[in-house]
Amino acid sequence: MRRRPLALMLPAILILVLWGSIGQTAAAEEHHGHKAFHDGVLNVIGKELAHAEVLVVEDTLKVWFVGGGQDTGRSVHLKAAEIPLMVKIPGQGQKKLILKANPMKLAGEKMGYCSHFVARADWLKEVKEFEAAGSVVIKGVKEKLIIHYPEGYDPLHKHGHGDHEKEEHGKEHH
Amino acid sequence: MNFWRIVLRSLKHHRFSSILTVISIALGIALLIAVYSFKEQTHNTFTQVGLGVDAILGPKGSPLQIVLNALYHLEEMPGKIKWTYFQEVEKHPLVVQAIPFAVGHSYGGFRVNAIDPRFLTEFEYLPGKRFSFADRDGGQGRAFSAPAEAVAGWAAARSLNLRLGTEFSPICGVREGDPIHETDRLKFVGILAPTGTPHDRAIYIPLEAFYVLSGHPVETQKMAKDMEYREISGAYIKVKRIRGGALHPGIQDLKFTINQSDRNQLVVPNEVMPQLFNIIGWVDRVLIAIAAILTVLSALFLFFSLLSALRERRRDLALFRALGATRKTVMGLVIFEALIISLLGGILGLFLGHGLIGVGAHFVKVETGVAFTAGYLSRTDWLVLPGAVLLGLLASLLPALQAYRLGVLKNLSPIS
Repeated sequence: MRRRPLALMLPAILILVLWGSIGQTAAAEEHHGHKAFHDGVLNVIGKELAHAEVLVVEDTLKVWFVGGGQDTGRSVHLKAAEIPLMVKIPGQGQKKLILKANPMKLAGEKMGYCSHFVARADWLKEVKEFEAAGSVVIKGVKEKLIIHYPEGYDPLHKHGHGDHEKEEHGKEHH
Repeated sequence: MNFWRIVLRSLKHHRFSSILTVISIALGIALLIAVYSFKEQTHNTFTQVGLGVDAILGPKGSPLQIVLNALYHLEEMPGKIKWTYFQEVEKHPLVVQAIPFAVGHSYGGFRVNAIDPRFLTEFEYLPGKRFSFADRDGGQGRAFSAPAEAVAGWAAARSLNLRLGTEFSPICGVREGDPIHETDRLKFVGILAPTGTPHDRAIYIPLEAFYVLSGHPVETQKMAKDMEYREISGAYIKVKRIRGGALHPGIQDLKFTINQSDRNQLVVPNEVMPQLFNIIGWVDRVLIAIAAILTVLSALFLFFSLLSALRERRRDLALFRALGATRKTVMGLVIFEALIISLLGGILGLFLGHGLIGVGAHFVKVETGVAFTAGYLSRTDWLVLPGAVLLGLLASLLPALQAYRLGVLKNLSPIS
């Protein structure tokens, strides 16, 4: 009499194993948090009022001003044509860099209504990390622009958005 | 008597229950194979191939809706985009080909896609594959070259029995009861060779013809000549590739930029289609669960039929033991009987499953234009026979143990 429950358990185990494999394939990949849409690093402006997404490609520093919080997929437009930055490079002192408005035509941008800024300098090719500071008028508010590259700047969290983003991207690619 | 002859005799003796068990195992396995094969083939078709379109330039709205409309000829386009904007995108250095189209018409239940003629002559719907009108490929005629000419996709032509020279009036809309452009007669000058993609399920007319169809408001008619005024439903976009044929990573920048505009968006089908699978994924899971339960029930059926056969044959097996057979031999008889049944069920299930795909594939092709192949081997196919053996082994475990412990004297003693 004791053997029968054992025999009935075998198919039950099989069902569980099959369910397990189904669950595995069905597991939805979830991700949350801030996403850098250009694979750059996010730097918080103000109290998450907006972000500056920063990417260095060879001799060019590219900055996209995007929304605060999780709204990093939406551009935030600035009236400024130029944004002067003071760049601190470890072991090399300070250098001046001017970000110039580079309107994204396909996004309907123009001078005075621009979210994309670029700056070119030969020394950018050699730089692996830097901190930059300036100021911007964004969403009608004058705020400090602080850039930490490549880790990102986020005063509310210990680690920068750069690290955070790498984790997020890692999750997405799984 | 030979061991195998005894096993076969026993199976023959219980042929009714043995056949039923084989059939029940086969049905469960066939369903599992069919579901997994359809699932994998659908995934391959809808996510990896991308139907030759790297991205779709379309109006603001649901990206999934845009993909379903532009590529699968389902749903409706949520709006229109300006021709001048399309031209700006076409000039982008990352874009290698841009094919504009205008949707919103139908005929005989098939969508009529007004499209740039380069779609029929230059567009690659799969890497290295262009549309063909050649007889040897199953096509007929040629691409359209005048506003009153049309080309039918293979499935549309077959379903509507269209021939070269057949004339038709498109319906202004995609719903039943929508008005017909009665005074406009377009003539089929080509039938595309089958591609095994949803492109087979549409009728194509020149983009220019769209604007001049009678019954369209003056604003639409004006779009034929005034490019500043012209609107289209969207455009198929092909972008530069990098090593290994992967999409140029710049497509993300382009997508971000276009998505910031007020009226337009760039949709990458390979990113959107997985959403559809997340939505309809539960159907797969329910079907797989049903198939799994069916297979497990058939294992239970096998288990009980072996158990009842053992009860009937206690005396025979005791006699067999008395004639010199070892406990292991008697146990082996039960196990091999189960293995033969489950293996036969597995093999039959394999054939049945692929037969099911073959029958289903025909209907899927007619309904959606997507070609499935009955011969496609999914991961499940490789697991069927080992799985069937495991199933038989599990189901026979207890009956085999009972056979092993069979008391010779007890079962040979007179019954009454």
